[in-house]
Amino acid sequence: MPFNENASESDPEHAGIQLAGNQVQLAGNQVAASGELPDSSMEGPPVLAPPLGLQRLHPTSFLFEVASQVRRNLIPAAFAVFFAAKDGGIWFVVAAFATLVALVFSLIRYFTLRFRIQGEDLVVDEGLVFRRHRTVPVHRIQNIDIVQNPLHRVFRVAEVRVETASGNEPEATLRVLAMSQIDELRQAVFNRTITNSSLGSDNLVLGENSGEVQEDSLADRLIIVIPTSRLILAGLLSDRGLVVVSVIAGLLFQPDFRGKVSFDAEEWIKRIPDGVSWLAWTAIGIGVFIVFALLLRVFSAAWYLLRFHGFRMERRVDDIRIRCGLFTKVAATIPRRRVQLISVHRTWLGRYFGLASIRVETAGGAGGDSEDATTSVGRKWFLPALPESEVPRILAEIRPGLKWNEGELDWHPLSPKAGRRMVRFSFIFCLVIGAVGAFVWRPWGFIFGLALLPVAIWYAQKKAKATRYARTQELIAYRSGLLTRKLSITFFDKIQTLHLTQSPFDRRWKMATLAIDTAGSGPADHVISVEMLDADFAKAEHEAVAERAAQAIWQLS
Amino acid sequence: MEEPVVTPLMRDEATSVSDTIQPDFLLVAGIAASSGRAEQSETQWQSFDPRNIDYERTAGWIAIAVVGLIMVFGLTITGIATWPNWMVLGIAGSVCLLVLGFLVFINIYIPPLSHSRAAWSCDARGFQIRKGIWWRKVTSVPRSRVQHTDVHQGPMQRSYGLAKLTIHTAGTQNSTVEVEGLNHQVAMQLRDVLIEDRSFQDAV
Repeated sequence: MPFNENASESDPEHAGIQLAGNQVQLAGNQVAASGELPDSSMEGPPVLAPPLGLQRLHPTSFLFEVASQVRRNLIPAAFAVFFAAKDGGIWFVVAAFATLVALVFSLIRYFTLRFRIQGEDLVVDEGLVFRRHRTVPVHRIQNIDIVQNPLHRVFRVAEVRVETASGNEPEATLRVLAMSQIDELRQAVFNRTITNSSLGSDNLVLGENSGEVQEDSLADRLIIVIPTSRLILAGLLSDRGLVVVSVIAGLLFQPDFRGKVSFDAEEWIKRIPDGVSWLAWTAIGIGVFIVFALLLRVFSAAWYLLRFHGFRMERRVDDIRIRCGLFTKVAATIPRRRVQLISVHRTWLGRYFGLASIRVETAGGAGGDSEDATTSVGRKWFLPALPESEVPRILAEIRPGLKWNEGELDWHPLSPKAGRRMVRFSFIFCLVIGAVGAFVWRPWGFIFGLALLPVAIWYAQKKAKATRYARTQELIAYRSGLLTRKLSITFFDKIQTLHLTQSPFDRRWKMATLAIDTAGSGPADHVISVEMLDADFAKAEHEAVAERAAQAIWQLS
Repeated sequence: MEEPVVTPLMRDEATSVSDTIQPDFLLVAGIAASSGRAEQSETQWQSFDPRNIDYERTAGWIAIAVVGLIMVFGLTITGIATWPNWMVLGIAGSVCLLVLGFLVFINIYIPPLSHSRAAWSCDARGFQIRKGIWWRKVTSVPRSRVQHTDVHQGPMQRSYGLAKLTIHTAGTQNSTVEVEGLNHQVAMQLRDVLIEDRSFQDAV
């Protein structure tokens, strides 16, 4: 198939961009009720969706903007207050000035931000001195995420984030809009996307299910809900509670609190009578440990409930929609053609109870470790708990036409020498541990290294066996990990670059690393980088994958 | 079946394209001939411009000169500080000499070696580059995943007629692939060829 067959279709027209900037009215006199000023400049291909007129933020925006500024600057502010309490004077001025600046910026943002849909673009204008005029082609919008915390709910508003494939930050954050405005925006954007995708080449991405588009065209189809009981179970099995613990620990180690805590500890020790035997001490230690572990689990369950209560996943044509949250409600939309990588995680406890979790990666938006509500719901916590038996069905929902049967894949093991290489590495590791131990506690510290050795060897061998790689006509799968087993799948049309690397050690062992890069931004926490493959096999795979990845686009166009 | 059109060579006045360049470096053939359809799975590797060796060496000499100057400066200060004691200065000086000698050795032997290891290829599948003496790496970029390309030429590279081609993809871990040591004209051709064919709507 020739390269430039579809060239004419692939270039959307962005006419009217230059003109649009002049139409913006800065003064507050043009307060438009939602949808009052329909924009008449309908250029480009005809669309079925209604135009979205000039819109502005909800009047309560000011409040939430300030709240967000305060939250973002909490740590600097705390420092400023701390120093102010210590040194007084100048720091109060600094803190007051910073607050004032934040307030002014919030006000400016509220009074100047305007957005509308014009032709095929979402246009957002803001700024007083430095004006920012932003044009986001509607068909490039990856998703529109919505966060609504209890305070938002009082005013019937929510925060909206419009994301495209670029960068780690949302393309536009609209803080805050009235719910009716949000509905209009979503409808305007997604109706367009649907028309686009059913006309354009994207339709083919839907593959075998493309006939379905007409069938259930605009109806939401329920994919899965997570009952509260399963949510609590998953929470109890996870160690999310560590997040809570780390927050508490962080508070304790603040300079202000530490003095008090250590003082308390001394008091406690004084109160303990002298004649307590070491047996009692051990019992107390174990007891404290158990209580702590239980508390951790309870915290985890609470975190899960808070985040994912009422979890509901639906599909509307090509968009997967997720809604969840106890107090702060989050709604995320993920167009499934944008999914770059699917990752199934199974923890050791979860495996025992037959639970798994699924993460997906889309381009842009979700920065790797972001714990922020919207970016983490929908990517990192795409599906926080599901029964093992449901995995194939959900995968088929994410990737239409995918018939997933993990057992039937042709799983290729690592190089037969990989186990030995890992064992050798654990020898060195234990030697180092032993040496350090012996240095610290002469000469018996070496025991630590020696005791660790059998465990390390066992672990190395198991780990080498657990790492597998598979390739089919459509996808590449990689699984690794011993305790938490991670399985990641990517598809040939999503592969951006691939790398074959060989270190001097690799050459000695006749091994190589095959790495595959997608546009996914990392929330799955599992990169497809298969180390210690047999060198010849890796080379052949590299060629084959490159070939197939190049063809994958041709099939789609 | 269309073949991608290779733009005519752009003669850059600043570039002294001498006759010493072998024809296969201006490889229209290398880019175009193989780009019909990737039936042949065997990659046809092209080596980089041999002037790259001289360029790398010259850059190396400059770096070594800078390091040498810093060493002389440091040694002078050490000498003044520990004046009557020749021991310190002697040891420091010989260490510096050893390091310099090692750097000179590297600068003489490494560039030809890395030149012989490095190669690129561009066919219908896309762009491939391989490089590295000890740590070896082969990178493939499927043609349709190229988002945009840059050609960069520093002042020293210009005097050698070389350029750096940067290929940007939508990837995350390795979103840019940098190809250094290309002949400037080849780089310009590659730049155009790689983004010429947009047969898809959205890579991501």
